[in-house]
Amino acid sequence: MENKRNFIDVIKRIKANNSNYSLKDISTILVLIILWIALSTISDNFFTIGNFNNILLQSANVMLVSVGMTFIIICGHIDLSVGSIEAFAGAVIAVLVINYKLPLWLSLVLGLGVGLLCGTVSGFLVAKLRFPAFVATLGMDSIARGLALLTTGGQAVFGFPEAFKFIGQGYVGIPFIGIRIPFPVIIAFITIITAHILLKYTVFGTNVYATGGNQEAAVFSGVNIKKIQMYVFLIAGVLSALGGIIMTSRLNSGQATIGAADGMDAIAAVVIGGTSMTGGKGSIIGTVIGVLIVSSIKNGLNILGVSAYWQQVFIGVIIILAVLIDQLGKKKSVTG
Amino acid sequence: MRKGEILGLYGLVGAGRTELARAIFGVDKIDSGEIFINSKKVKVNSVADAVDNGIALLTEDRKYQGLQMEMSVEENITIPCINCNSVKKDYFKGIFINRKATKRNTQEYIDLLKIRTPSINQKVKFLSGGNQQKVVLAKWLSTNPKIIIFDEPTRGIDVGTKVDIYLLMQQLAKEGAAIVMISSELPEVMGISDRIIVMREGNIVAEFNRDEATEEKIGRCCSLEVNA
Repeated sequence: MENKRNFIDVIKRIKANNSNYSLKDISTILVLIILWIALSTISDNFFTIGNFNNILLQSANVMLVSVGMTFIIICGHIDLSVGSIEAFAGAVIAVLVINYKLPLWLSLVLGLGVGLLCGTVSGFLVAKLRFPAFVATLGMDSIARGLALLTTGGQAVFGFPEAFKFIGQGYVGIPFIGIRIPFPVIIAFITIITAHILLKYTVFGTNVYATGGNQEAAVFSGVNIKKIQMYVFLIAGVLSALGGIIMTSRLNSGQATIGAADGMDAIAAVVIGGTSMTGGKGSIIGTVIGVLIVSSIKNGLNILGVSAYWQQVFIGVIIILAVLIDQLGKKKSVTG
Repeated sequence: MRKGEILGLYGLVGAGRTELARAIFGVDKIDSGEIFINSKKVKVNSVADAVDNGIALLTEDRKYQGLQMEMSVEENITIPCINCNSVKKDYFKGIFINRKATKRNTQEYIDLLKIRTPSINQKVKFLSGGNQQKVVLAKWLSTNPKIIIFDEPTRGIDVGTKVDIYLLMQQLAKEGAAIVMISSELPEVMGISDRIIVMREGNIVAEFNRDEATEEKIGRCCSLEVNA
C-alpha cells in the first residue's frame, strides 16, 4: 500500500516536472530522426561521417545566426538584418586585411565590432525609440548590405593570408577518437553551449523569457526590459558577424552578396525548433535541431539531385507544418 | 505612513489611485512631488529602485502585469528577487542563478501561503485565480518589502482566498510592514484599514481615521463633483 502511494507520488512528480517539455520538443527530434532514416535508406552516401561533417560545416554560419535569432525571437522581436551584417562584417575584414594590411587579429576584432555596432543600432531603435523590430531591422538590412557593397566596391576581394583560411577551412583532430572536425563546427559548438547556459541559468536568460512572455509583467517585476532588448540585438549582431567571418574564410574572399538567404533560413530553423514567434517560449536546443533539419533537407535533396528550387518549396512547407503543430497545441491548451 | 499600519486608499475607478501606485513604484515618471521613506527622501527611477527601497506593488491586473503565464511558479516567484540589488546576493552562485536557493524560497512560500500547485515547476496559467494571486504575493514577499501596496487584491478571487489575504495583510502589518490597500469596495476598505484616504480626479480629497469613517461621509467625498 505504502509502495503504491509512493509510486503514484513519483508519477505525479514526473508529470509535473515534465510540464516544461511539450510534445513539440520531442516531435522535432523525431522529425529529425525520421528524416535521417529516410534519407539514409534512399541514399548510401547520406549516413557517412564525411557527409555529416559536410552538413555541420555547411550549416555552421546559419547555426551562429540562428542562435542569435533565438534570443531575439524569444524576446518577442525579429531580426531581418542578420544576413547583411554577415556580408558587411566579411567585407570589412577582407578590405582591412588585404587592402590596408592590418594585422589579422585587429581586423577580426573590428569585423566583430561591425556586427556589434549594427546590433546596437537596431537594439537602440527597438528598445529606446520603440520601433517595431520588423521595420528597424529591415532598414538595418538595407544599410548593412549597401555598406558591404560600398566597402568591396561590388567585387570579390581576394588575397587573404593562409592564417585566415583556418577559421573557415581548418580541421581540428580530436584525440582518441581520431575524427577530424571542421574548425567552424567547433566555433558553432562552443557558441551553442555558451548560449544555452546563458539562456537557461542566468538572470539575463530568465529576463529574456520574461520580456518576451509578458513585457508588462516583466516591467512590474523589476526587469529592465530596455537593457534586455538592447542586449539581444547586440548578441545577434555579433554572432552574425562571426558567421560572416566564417563564410568569408570559406569562400577565401570578401564578397558583399553572401548570407542573403541566411536570415530566412535562421528564422525557419528557430520556428521549426519550437520557438514561438510571439515570444517567451523556445530553446537553443530546439534551434540546433531546427538548423539540422533545414540543412539535412538541403543536403539530402542535393545528394538526390533535386533542384535547388524544389528545396525552397520543401523548406517552406516544413515551416508551415511546424507552425501548424504549434497552433494545434495552443488550441488544446485553451480548451482542455 | 506608519509602521504596522494599514492604509486604505479609496476612490471611484479613474480617481487616480492606480496611477499613484504606478508612480510610487517607478513604472511611470513622477511629474511633481517626492517620495519619503523613514523621513528620508528616496529617488525611484525604476521598479528595481522601488524594490530596493522596500516597496512592493501587487497590481490589480495579475494576468497582464503580475504574472508570466507561460513560466513556472518558481520562475515567477524568482524574477523580482534576482533583479533587485537588495536581495539578489542570496540567489546567486557566481553568475548563475542558485536553483537550490530559489527552490527553497519557492517551497517556503507555497507552504506558508498554502498555494495549491502540483509542483514548483507547474506553469502558473494552470493555477486557479486565487492561487495565482498567491503566487504574486509570494513573489513580492520574497523581496522583504517594508511597504506593500495592494491594488484591488481581492478582485476576481473566491471568498476563502479573500479571507486568507485579509488575514495575511493584518499579519504583515503586525510584523511591522506598512500596507496600502487600494480598493473600490467600501466595506472592504472600512473593515480592514486603520486610516482611509479618499482620492478624486487625481487628488487626495479627504482623510479619515478608522473610527470616524462612515460610508456616508466617504461616499460624499467621492462624488462631490456631482452635487456641486
